[in-house]
Amino acid sequence: MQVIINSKKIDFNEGETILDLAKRKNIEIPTLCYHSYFQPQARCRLCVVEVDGKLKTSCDTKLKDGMNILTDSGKVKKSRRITRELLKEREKRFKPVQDKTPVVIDHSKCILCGNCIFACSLIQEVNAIGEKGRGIKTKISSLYDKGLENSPCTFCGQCTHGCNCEAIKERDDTEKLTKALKSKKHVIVQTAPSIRASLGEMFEMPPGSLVTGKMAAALRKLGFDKVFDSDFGADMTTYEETHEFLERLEKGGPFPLFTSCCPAWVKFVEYGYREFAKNVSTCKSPITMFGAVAKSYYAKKSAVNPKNIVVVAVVPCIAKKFEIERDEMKNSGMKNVDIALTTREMGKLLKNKGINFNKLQESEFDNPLGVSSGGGAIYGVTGGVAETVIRSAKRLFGEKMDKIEFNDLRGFEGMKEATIELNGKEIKIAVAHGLSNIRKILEIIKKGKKYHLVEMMACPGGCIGGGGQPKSSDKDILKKRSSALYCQDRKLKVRVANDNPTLVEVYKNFLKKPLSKKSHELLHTR
Amino acid sequence: MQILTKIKEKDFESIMKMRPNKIIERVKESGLAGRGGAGFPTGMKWELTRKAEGQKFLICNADEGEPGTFKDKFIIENNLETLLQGIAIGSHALEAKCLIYLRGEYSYLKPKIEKMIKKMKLNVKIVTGAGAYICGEETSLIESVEGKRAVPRSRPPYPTVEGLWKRPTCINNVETLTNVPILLKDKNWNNNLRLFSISGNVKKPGVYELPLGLELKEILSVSEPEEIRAVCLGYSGGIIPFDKFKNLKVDYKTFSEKSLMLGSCTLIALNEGIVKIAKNIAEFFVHESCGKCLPCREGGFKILELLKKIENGKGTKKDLKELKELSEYMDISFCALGVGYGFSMRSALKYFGKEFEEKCR
Repeated sequence: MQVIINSKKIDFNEGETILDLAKRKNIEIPTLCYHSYFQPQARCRLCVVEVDGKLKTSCDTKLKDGMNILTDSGKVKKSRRITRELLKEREKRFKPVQDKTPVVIDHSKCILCGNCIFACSLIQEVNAIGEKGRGIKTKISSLYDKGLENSPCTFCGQCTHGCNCEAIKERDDTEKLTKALKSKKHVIVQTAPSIRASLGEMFEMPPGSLVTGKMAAALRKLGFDKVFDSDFGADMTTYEETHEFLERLEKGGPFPLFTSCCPAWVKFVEYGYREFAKNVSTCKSPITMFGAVAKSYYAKKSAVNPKNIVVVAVVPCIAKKFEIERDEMKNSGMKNVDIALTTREMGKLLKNKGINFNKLQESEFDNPLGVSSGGGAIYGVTGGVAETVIRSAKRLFGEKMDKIEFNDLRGFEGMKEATIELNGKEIKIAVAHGLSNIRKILEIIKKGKKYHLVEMMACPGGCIGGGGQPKSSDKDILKKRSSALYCQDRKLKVRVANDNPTLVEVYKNFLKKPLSKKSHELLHTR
Repeated sequence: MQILTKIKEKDFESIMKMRPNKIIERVKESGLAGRGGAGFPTGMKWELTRKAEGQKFLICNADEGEPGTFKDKFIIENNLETLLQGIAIGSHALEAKCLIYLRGEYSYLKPKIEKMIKKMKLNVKIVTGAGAYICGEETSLIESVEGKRAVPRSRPPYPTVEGLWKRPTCINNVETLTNVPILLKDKNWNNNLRLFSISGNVKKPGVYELPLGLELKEILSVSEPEEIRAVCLGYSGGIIPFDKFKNLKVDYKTFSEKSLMLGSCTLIALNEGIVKIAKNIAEFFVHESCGKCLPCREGGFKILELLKKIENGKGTKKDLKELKELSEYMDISFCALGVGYGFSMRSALKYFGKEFEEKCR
């Protein structure tokens, strides 16, 4: 089967659209609303081409034998020009964004493609956003237009991955950071486990590049007083959560114990599944545990007034902007973490500051809060938290681990199950990623299925697929990023949180023991 | 009027005993085509739906939203029984579950229809719209029945293959279905008769049954017209100058040769300035645009802005040029709403260009 595109005969495959073929043959057709994740919507009409003399949208027109297609005729150009002009006029009709929520909508940039709604309803099945109004008054809106904060929105930010136009995005907090860096305050930064496997993409590096060293160097160059690692926080979370888990095993419940490090999942369970709230671990997340320790242990150790410390976290996540504002994430009236920037925000900021990321000499994290185990590294991928908790529990029981990697907990199936022997007992574990799978597994548990430990991550793939991660059209993006994290884990000598020397020191000199009064005050939500 | 023919109850019962294929064959032979405006052969639509796999649905489209069209209301008010027989026959021929999608503004007719359904012991549901013009478009209608926002779907897949609840769905207009029992029983059934909705600057507005092929002025004369400058063929059918077209033969072939649209046989006799009429039409479409595609939503809005400016005497030659450009651009809209809007504007500019030019500096 053959068509003629711009006077050239080209073979095509059954079922291909004009746009599919053009992409395959590197023929330029501009698109706006087209998104590889979803069915073509043909809403923006920018991708028009001339088919046998008539304008047709290339994204949803299937090829037929003998079609004569022009992708750049006068007619086509004129139509595209008007589309662009109309979009400019639309932009002028709206005021700049005023929202203060972690996810903001800039209606002036929105072309109403609906992809954010698909991400929310089809991928996450949360249905927090939809279209409101009709015709020229149509806009993307929260339920009854009451604001995202009053909707089921978890701030997971998957909607932002659907958006081709920067219309729905994270609240820009870079200004806050720039101000803090200019001030006399002691500004320290921590980097979430998954971002070292994705930040490179912001600088055109191939997906899956592990950029730990360059990242540390870039942040130092940006002007942070100390560059630390959330992986250390993750080790603390593992250690506390493992003890909480063992305590529940001793007491006989309540089961299952749900992990608590994903703020979107926590908001999801609080909003729609309150009956499970008591099952959620009381552990704070790695970044807030880190912040609490930074403003106490580290402040004392380095003789800085905690009030003068600004803790910044670079995270793959938009919901973290919500999490750090929560009352549970404050100690002595201070927020554990002051500013949370997404991978994308940090990438853009580094670019704007003229830092040539690709050419930077690799550097190391600062001490003491920059030391971590391999367990901390894999927090960023679905199954990682469960795996690292099991490693830690086995270590506590003094069990020998012939294989430290638990393959049953790895991979990208929506729901994973594993049974692991611990201290002579069979432990049933489940792992879910993506809110639609989380909902499924919660319903299964409601019906009576028993698990001891369930790891929940709101974003597909876990944090590597977080709402604040660089946008990518690579179908294997999650695989590539996860391999980078598993590789980091393998490279480290210390792979169990319990063995992290800084952690040992912090407990010995400061926290005393897990679940202690001090731990509960600083590292737990209650 | 042929459309008011009532068939005998025993004739209806005998039709209901006919084999479905036989009924479809007869409808095909009759040459009956959709009376909603698009004119798709009804028998073929039935056959396509019947051949598709899964539970079938038959929807009677009573969402008569085209300004100036009120023939379906006339039928529901005056020959409801035959309409319901048509639905029953269709449902039998297609082995389909059936429902009536009733225009929101016609809600007052719902009790009457319900009563008749009960009396005839039929299994027909009524779904009322909420007043959106777009719901007359098949796929938007389906979305609306499913409880969603009324926006058109991509075609293919066509409703006959994947319609309501993703099942094969046949959607027929009120006039079409009312004709079915009549054509099956009346040997003298005349496929050439149409219901014309005539309104505007006439003494006797109303629904008239007339054969195709008469001249425009002959058709209008039945309603005792007063001064007429222009005739609007429904808001998506455009405006034509009466003087120029008064001897035009009103049938689908002639209309199509002249690049005109007869649609659902709507004639609005007008005597006002065309710029004002065009603005009125634009206001209607801007209000009714669903917002899905950019040309209709943004382009349609821009057209209205320009027309307001021109009507107020503030338009320029450049505005007029832009208006022309946009009316052509509207052709790439997602569905017939935006396309019809553009078509309508083009007709106004084509036949009454002078009036626009006079208003623009």
